[in-house]
Amino acid sequence: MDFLVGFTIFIFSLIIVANMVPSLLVGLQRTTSIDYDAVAYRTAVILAEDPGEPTEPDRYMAGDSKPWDFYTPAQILGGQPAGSSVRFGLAVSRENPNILSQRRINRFFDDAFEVNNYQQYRKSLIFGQIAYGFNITLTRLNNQPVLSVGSPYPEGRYGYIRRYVKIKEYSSATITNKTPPQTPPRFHAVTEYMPPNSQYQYFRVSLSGPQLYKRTEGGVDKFIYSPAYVIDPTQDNITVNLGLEGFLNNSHVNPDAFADLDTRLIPSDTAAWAQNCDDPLNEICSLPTSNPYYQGTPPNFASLRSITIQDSTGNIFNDLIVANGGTITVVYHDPLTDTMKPLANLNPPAPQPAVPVGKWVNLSISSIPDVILDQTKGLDIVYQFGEDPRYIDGMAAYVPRTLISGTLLYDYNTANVTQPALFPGILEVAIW
Amino acid sequence: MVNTHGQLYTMEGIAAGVVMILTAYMVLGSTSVYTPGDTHITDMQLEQVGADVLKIMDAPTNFNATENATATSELETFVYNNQGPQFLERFWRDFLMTGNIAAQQTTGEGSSILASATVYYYDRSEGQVKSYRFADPLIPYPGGQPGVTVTRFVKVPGIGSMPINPDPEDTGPRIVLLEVFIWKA
Repeated sequence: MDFLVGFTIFIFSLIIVANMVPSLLVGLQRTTSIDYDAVAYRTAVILAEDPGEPTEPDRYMAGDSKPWDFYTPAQILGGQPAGSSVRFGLAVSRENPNILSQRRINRFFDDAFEVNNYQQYRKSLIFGQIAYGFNITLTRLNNQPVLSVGSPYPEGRYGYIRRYVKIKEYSSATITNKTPPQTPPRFHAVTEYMPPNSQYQYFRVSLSGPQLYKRTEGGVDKFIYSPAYVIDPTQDNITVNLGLEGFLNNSHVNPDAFADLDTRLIPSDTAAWAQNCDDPLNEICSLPTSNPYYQGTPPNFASLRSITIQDSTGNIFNDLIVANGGTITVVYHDPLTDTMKPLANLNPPAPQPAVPVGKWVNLSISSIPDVILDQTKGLDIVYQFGEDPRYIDGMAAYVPRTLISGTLLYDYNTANVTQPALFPGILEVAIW
Repeated sequence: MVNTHGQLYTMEGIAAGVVMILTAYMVLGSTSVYTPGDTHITDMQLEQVGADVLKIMDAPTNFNATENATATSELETFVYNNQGPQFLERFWRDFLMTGNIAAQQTTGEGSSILASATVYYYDRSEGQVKSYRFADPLIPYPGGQPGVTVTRFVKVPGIGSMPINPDPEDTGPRIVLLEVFIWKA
């Protein structure tokens, strides 16, 4: 009896002492007190300090491996790139933490990843077995819209981290003629023969890989531009805003140009001139009253024939850029309606009529593939302007509308190009 | 209560056993200490935010292609020209921006954060690391919670306006350590 009592007491005490050893009884999965702050911190580090996976192994060289933001969201959701899994990351490179790439930001915050309750974010950014709720917000401190992905903040406990970052903006070039040409003579004489290549006026913007990516010093090639400041058309957008007002041949809208009409003189544009009439009731003078040039000077315009992206041998890469996921977007100013319109067909086959372009042609190119632009290659953006000839007595005559020519070097010269600048922003990650 | 051999009778024995076990339980239970984890995480957030702000203040907005070098960052300008109050105003205002952010937050940061800054430099003539007070807190408030320190090495092109006794042989570019102490009031 005593033995039983003593043994019972001993067993009870052994059980109670065993209860005090915590490692025997702690659950393998703590669902009540997960450190959400730690998960938020880890997620913020992956976003702000890492360029993601896959990333380009050879900078500024054509290669098979493309960075993850080269692929569109539809391709990433479909399993691209084949053979490797995607990890999101917004930094421009491993060596530049807290400096974010604009294209990666646009890809990351794309609406297409909302499918399946943001499954792609859990798979490629947050990781872990638990289906965390999350909210990732990027606030740019230069009055741009706030970008946000995920669910709204919950009522209860959540983990939170804030990172300060700088965002690399895109470069752009704006070309205007600050000193417009002098008023040309009142008429243009017919010339007997115009060489064919003077029918068209060309303006080029030169993207030269060797100039953008490296410099040779003492026979050694160096990458001299940090990824935070480099102009890299394969990763960032290139924007060219061409302001044509200063480059137009004003004789086309100079009423005095037709004061002394001679049969040997070509009226620049009889249709435009006819619109500039004093008598609005005259049939050929009727412009709709909505036209801003009603009863005024008809709008002057250039005749844009094509915009092509070419290399030095004349190969045109417009289709290749689009086929590889890039975009070429052009909006131009329509002189008759005074609005900006998109230009759909950039390289129409001849003999398409030229598009009348008034004040601006704004071109934006994204994601140029590195097979056509790397540290050994260059590209030109070629604008072709020109009119079809008028024939007088069997002779072709041209009166150019555009007086533009030359090449703009798109490089680090601040006089020509607005350089990529860094603007601060705040990245906030919340996990629950 | 005890029999002739000194053993406890059963009931008393059980009671004694229970008393001993309860005592042991209370002794062992009293050694556990509750550590509030929230304070620690907030401090890490503060330290991370401070380090981030120093990092982005040290990243120049543009690249200076003509000199083939990055342009001067604003942090370098502040230290070189010994503009402590302006530096702190900028640093503190970047914190203060948190109050304007659209995202909901419950950490209550913003006006209750204070900071002060010190610069450490190496004096070659005396062979020592010395320091000078770079910026005092904008609100003279002595109290507060334990703070965090964030530091950054800043490269300056020379002495500038820094209160450093210039060694005649040592007036070239140098590295100084900027230390910012941040705490919550």
